[in-house]
Amino acid sequence: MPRPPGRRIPARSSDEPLAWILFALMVLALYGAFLFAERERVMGDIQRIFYVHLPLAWVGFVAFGHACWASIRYLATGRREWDVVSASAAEVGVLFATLVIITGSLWARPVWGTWWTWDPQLTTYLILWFIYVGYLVLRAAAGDDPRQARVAAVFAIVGFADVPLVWLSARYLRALSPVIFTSHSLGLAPSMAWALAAGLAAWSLFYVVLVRVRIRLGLVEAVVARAADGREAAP
Amino acid sequence: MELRSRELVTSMGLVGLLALVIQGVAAAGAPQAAEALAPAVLWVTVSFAATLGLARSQALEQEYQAGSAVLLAPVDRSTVYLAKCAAHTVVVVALQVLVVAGASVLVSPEIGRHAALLAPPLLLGAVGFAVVGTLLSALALTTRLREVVLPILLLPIVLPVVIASGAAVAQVLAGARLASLGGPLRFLVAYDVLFLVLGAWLYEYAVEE
Repeated sequence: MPRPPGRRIPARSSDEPLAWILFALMVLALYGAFLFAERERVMGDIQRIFYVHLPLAWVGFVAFGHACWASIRYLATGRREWDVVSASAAEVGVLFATLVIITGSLWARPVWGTWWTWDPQLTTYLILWFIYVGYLVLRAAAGDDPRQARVAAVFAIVGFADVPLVWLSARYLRALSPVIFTSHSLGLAPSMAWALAAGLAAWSLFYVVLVRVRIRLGLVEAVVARAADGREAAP
Repeated sequence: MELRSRELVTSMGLVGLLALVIQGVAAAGAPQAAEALAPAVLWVTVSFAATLGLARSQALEQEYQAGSAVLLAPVDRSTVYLAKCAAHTVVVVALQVLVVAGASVLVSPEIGRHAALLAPPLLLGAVGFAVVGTLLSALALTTRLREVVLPILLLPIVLPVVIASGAAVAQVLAGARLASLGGPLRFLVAYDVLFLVLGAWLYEYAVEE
């Protein structure tokens, strides 16, 4: 099978060690979240969802930054491999963004008595979700030609630039989300900080593994499409 | 062409007025809340009518092949983008004037009394809407879903404009002076400048064949 110029398709076997490390880290993260971290005095056990919710939020934002970076590289170089990276990051990112909204609502209901509130963090994440979905709708509607890649790249850059502006503007809305990080301390007990660190490591690696698989699939799809175009063009 | 036919502003204005009527009827059971709801009513109306207008503007350009003719001109694509932003800003401001006049009658007379102080946040909001809408409507019209996809792309991106401008409108209607609107107005200026620069850079990629 011909390889795309300039980029080697990552071999499936190189994901196996990563998958095993991910398994171990995830077990550690779940142990930390549900058993190791001490019980929060005010919110009780429902607070433990925080050790999943915050890492998901972090990774969801990083995924969109990854898609934006790949889009800039695509516009600068014109290489379709960067478009595959951008699409892969966005597809995995929308999954994480959806989970952030769901876990946030599950946490909010027993603590604040409401499934939703228009505070800066939640509002920013909801808009990030809509931007992700808009990106995927745009890709699906733009067809398969290079224009699709260009159009999607432009929107990914615009969307990523918008996210901090949503957060800044949402200061005008009331804020209910707990402030964890202060300028002087983490605001968490040591056992909670370790559980959070384990969660961040595990969910970040989960993102890396998923995106690698998706990029590999996307590169293979690109090779097959190019081969099919070549066969159609041949007399 | 729009100066001659006024097709776009007329249709946007009618949609805007109809949206005001629907919101007015829906909120008729709570007249005491009209002033509190005014920022939401203004921006919901302007957002949806302006989105329709931006999509129609780009579609008209494609219909008459004016877009291709403009791109053939020996000027930088960013210059074309800035000119289109200016034109779209004028259209959105015209829509806002109609909506403010209509809302003064159908929603709350306080809106009309404070029209002068409402002008800065609404004008800056119009610029932000036009700047982002010009770029995203060029993207949307290249897809097979065309106008249908524009609200999905545009509305999340202009949400900061709606929030900040809406906050300033609420402060004005509550009796604030221009000097106390510094925060939202500075934010709107920063948003407009950022997306003007970003749009001028990215427009070339959006319209490339």
